[in-house]
Amino acid sequence: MQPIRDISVREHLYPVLSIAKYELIVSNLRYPLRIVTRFVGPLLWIFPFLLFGKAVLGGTDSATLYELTGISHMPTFILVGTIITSISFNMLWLMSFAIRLESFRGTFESIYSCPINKFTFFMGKLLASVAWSSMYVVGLLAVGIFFLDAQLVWSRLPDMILDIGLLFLAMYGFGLTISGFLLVYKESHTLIHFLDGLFSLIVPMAYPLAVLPLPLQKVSLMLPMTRSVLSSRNVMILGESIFEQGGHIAVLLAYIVVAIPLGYMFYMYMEKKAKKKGVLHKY
Amino acid sequence: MVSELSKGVRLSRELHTIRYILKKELKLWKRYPSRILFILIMPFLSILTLYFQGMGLVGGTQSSEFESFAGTQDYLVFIILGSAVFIFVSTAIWGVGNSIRREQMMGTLESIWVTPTSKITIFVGVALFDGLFSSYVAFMQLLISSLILPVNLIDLRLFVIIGIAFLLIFALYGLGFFFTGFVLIYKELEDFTNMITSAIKMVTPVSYPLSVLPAPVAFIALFIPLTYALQAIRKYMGVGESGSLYQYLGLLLVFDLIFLVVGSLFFRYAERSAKRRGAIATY
Repeated sequence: MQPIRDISVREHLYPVLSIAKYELIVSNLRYPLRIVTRFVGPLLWIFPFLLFGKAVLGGTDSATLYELTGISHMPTFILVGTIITSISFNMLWLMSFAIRLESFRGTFESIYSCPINKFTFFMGKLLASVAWSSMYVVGLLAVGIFFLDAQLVWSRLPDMILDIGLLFLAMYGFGLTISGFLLVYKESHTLIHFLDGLFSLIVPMAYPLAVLPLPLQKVSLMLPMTRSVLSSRNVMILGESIFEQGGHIAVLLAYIVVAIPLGYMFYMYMEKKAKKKGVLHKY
Repeated sequence: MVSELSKGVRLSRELHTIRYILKKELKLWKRYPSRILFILIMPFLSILTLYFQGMGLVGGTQSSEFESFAGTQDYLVFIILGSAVFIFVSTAIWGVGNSIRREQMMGTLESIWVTPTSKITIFVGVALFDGLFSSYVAFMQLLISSLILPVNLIDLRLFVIIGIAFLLIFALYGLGFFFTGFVLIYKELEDFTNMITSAIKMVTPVSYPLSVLPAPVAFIALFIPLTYALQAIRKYMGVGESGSLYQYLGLLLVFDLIFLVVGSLFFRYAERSAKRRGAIATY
């Protein structure tokens, strides 16, 4: 079907910004207790690893860690891992539940009948996730500077930002796939929680990849968050350039090129399936 | 009239109600078998995460530095015991604490609220189910850990561990009442529950000894009954801890009483307040 008239870039952008704004307000600012949880969450995420590390090391430096990774300062090692994984998990939840949340809120029908395509809708959700995750990054970096004596190579910050940008896009395809799955299989909190737990285990957030059993290492290396954690550590702690991270960047780019179209196709397929089964609107 | 019934008849009716609540909870769990699998796997994943972190930092499961904090070199046994007992806390917070919210989500809150049954009886039923379920999960946790990791925790002392953990349950009932009251006032508590669960885990000696925490944080742990349950269990198992077992058990019982009284008083206040505002049924 031909559009009624040509739509300008600005008009394309407007719904994306509106959805992002709506998501930021409803998900984060509407419920006072949530504001607290959003700010305290990242600290509760990182401190148990730091405290456990302190308990087994009695300090902050580890010879074993140095042998395995070339990095000896445990808090810096964990800080960079935590920044990347908190972004990944935040995106995983927000994107996966992008549609399901609307059912919970009772706004699914209104959004579904809007004359915008789902890709735009998900871009809005992605943008909200980017905005919120950026605050996590800034917050965790501040904790690193003021409380952990983080030993970071600041001149490589732009490299890390580029790396995080690629991660956002790589996770987008992931989110689309799970969101499509949730359209048909409604009660899938358990699945996402399980994925969250599994990724927490196999993504080398608080320990080097080398301590995982070999099969898990191989699975881990196929994940975009693992690649992003490894390349971010290389640039921000070891001071390498992003262009030296060829293998890691290639995997992230592959996710962007392959997973986004595949994820979108899968989403549209599941939407059709949900319509056929008559479960699209179901709670 | 209910008030004219003898104490024996009333007690038998309350017990009858509890039996039906147990049956209902069991049916709900059976309805989603994947959830049971998830509950069994998740705590084990968090043990594995710390195990890998320990391996990455000190290259084994023993640490002399850990001994100077905890009184034992074996950090793995320390965290497995902590994780098994913590299951009781998280089940209680998510179970009793969110039981009202669950009924709201299922659309059955009004039906339950108008039955001529004491709310306390309903919560005792849910809490009893949680206690039994937690014991099963904790047992499985110790069994799986003994099978997969280099530890052996399966012997007759297990019954004493579960017995001490059951003493903790009374305090958890109180905590559950407190959360239920919060749900009546604030409604959307999923994130808040997550935050409190993580915060309790962070400030109590679940994965590391209290002595690694900064003094003000360790001070907070002294007001959380889980601390004494963990100390009593580790003392009994000979895994660190220098205090007396009876002292820990005595403190645990005192906190049981305080939490029960404060929790139920807060719940009554929240219920009255919600009724006055006409907010019991609002979603």
